[in-house]
Amino acid sequence: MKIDKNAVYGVYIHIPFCLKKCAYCDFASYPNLLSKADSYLEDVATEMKQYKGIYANSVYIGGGTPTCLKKEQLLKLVDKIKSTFLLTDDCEFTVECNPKTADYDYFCALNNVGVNRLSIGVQSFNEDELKLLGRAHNAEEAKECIQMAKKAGFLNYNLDLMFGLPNQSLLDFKKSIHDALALEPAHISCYSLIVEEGTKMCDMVNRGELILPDEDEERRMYHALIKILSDNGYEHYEISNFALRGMQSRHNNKYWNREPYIGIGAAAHSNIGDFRFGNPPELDLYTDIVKNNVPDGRETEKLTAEDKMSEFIFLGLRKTEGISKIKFKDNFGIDIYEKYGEQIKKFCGLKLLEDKSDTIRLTSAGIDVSNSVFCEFL
Amino acid sequence: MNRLDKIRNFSIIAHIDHGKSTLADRLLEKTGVLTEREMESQVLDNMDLERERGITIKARAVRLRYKASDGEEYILNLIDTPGHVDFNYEVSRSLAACEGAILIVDAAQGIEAQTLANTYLALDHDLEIMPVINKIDLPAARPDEVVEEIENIIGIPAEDAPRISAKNGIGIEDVLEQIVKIIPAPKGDENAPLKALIFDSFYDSYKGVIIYFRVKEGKVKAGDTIHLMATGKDFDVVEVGYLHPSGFLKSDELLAGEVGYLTASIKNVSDTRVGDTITLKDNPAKEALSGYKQVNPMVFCGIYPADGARYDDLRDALAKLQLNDAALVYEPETSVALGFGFRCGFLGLLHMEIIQERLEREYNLDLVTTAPSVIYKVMKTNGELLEISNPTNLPDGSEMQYMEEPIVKADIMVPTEFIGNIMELCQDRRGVYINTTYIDSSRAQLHYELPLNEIIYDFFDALKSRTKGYASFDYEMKGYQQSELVKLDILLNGDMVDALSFIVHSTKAYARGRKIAEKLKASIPRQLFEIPIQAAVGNKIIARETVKAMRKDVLAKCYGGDITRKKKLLEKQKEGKKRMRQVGSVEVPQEAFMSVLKLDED
Repeated sequence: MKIDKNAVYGVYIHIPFCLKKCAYCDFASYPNLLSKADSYLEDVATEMKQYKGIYANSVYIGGGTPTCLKKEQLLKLVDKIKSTFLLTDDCEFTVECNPKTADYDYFCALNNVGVNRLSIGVQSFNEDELKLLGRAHNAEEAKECIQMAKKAGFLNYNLDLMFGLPNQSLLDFKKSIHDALALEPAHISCYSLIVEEGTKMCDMVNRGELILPDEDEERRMYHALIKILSDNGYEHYEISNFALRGMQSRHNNKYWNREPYIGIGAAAHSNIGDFRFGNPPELDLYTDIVKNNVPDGRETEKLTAEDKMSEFIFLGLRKTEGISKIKFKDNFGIDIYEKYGEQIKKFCGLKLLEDKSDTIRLTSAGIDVSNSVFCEFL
Repeated sequence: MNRLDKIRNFSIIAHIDHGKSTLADRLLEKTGVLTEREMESQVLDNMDLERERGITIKARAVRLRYKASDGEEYILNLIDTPGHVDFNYEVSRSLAACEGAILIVDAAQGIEAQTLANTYLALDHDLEIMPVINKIDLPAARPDEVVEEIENIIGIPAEDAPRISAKNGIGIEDVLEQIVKIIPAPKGDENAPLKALIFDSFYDSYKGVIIYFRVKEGKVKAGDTIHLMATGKDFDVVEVGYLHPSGFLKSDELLAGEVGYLTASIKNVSDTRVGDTITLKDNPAKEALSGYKQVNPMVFCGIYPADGARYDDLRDALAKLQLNDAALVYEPETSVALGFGFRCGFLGLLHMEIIQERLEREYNLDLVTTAPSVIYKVMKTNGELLEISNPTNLPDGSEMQYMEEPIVKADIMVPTEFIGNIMELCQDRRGVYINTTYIDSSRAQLHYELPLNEIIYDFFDALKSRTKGYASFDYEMKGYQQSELVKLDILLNGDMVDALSFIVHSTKAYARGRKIAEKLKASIPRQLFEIPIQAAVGNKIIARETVKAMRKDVLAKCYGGDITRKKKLLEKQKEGKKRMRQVGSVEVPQEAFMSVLKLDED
């Protein structure tokens, strides 16, 4: 795989450690393994070396919970990133954090070294829901965390929220939205709960201990979310993402726009040239790959022209601005109608897609059933 | 003692679960040692080939040797019988090959419906019934009472019936002794012209058709030219012999009174009908044995491969099954909804289920089947008479003068406490009550005339569930009868689904239509638009349900930059859709086609 030295990349660094595992979480995150952090960060540094001198205009340290690293560890990592990549002046530099893992000093230190965006996992402001989710913090602690970040100088921060939670009512959810708005975030990501196989929550749902809201109720929550946030000046720019004007996440947009990004660390994924590949989530396998340079251990996909076209559609349509027919033709040398005319016409007929001047986008009804739409473009 | 005096031909009859196969296994075990002569003649390559090709010998008639307490060695031929109403004719031919039958009765449960049905079938063939009380070691065993039951209800002496436990090998010797004592030796003149009764046959890709038969008169050996009296076919016998518990054993000839097999390079089981009489071409018998009848398929359904690309595999599988099953018929048909498939004919519902299961299990096919149908006769206004087994082929109502449907005479044996339930059921199935015969104070036989199309769906299941499993049921064709029949169509989103059409009595169309619409609603997943489900007779909509449009199918989560995972999830979803049938604009899962087959479940 060839790296284009002139391209500008996004960089994702995965920190697979947490204080505790949340009930719904199926990401690569390991509680009680912080003792391994130093050696893990060494592996990350080793993996990073090969990208020396590459331009990046977005860095995202995600997890797990990056801020459960010691302040010094995280600052050293930031330093490593800055000495490896050529960061553009306007580089968006995000660190994910969870309440109770960082204090005022921690935030100040991050702010000082050029981290300019935080993504804070609050998920809910309802105590019962937080307990059900198995979060390590309560609502008050989440609010305090955000106040400290603000005080430390962060103006650009995202709050993560969830809905469609067990026993959650529409009213409960609306309260959480208003609590979030009161904290004046620049950006809100709001995810509908997906009960993944193998999680603690999945077991509880299977045993009938938890009752999820039905489809209709879940959609009512989603539509309420869009309404409330847009009434408050937030633009709904992607299925699950909302931002004040000019505050969209550059990093997120790279995923939907098929722009190149480099993933470093366990379970991190990259999109470089024609390739998509991912590191294994298991720490020992990851170490193996980095130390012994066994790139075969990575799950790799070489994209065909066909793959790229369908990605263009199913990733691009996640954005509310939709996709550009001209861009499609520029990228692939074929008219989008020649390639996908049948599907586009069918979904326009069902009022799930709309086609206006250069843009094709999902309608509001289309968003609700977007997977069924995307499927037919594969 | 002459040759015949040392032969016993018998079957085992029992209610299901009373221990028929366990006792058979015990008898084989007790007697299943090869004599030296048999060892020699057991052609090794023959056996090995069979083993290599993985053929399971269809052990329908096994020869056992038993040295009785009188010092003589007897030949015991145990003839197996299938156990369901669909195969009653086959059962009757197997019984006709015997002189006696062991009647197993469970010492705890006593006589049950099937025990009686089978016993009467055996008595019809003048068989000597030898009762055996099984499971005497059960805590709930009440052998003395069961002996009384047998004597009172069936009217045969049972005082000396062996009291055994087949499972634990208790009393097996006693059974063998009584077989010799009670079951009569066969009769028959080995010098008379050959008369042998075919009671089963199956196809072996190595030997061709293997016929199981009982020699009633005369003898047969390799090299003879045989003549099958019903089908009129002639064949040169390649091999005769009998089945030892360990495999086929060749013998020089089979004589009157004996049971065995023959091969004659026969390609097709339809040439060797069960019930036919084998005689010799050069020295033919004057008359065939009585009781032959051609069995005709009575129940039809469409069978389609779930994956259209496997049409050829389905055709090959049906051809292979037919090699062994003369009663199975099929011809290609096409359906707008289901594509290319076959219209298949069966003896009855169980036969249909067996074939479907074998296609799925042995040939690894995923099937979609349509609702079973019978053969209707249609008199057109232009005087033309049609026979219709596929509802789709029914002419327009304006072209029809009248329709006729097949009627059967049904005998239902039932404990008296359930008579009310069964009468209700038969009433509901448009039955005409004939009369009731009481067997004793606790059992009765109800006689009804029922339209065949009312019993092909789930009548057997309904009988069982209304009688705690105690009822048994037998039927025979009576003939055709004019009837008010209509074709019920199902429309999805306005498009008719041909595979879901069926013919039903006009008084039942409304209820049936409503039920099917409900079933379909439950099995068709929500789609991107609302789907009306309609049941219609002609242009009249008689039932309607709606599958609401899908509300939510969205992946909120972003999975870091793991687009590959996202794509895999979408691909999986797309795969799921592929397995559905596109009917007009609607995607219909295979289960939906199947769900309408079982309407009386709830």
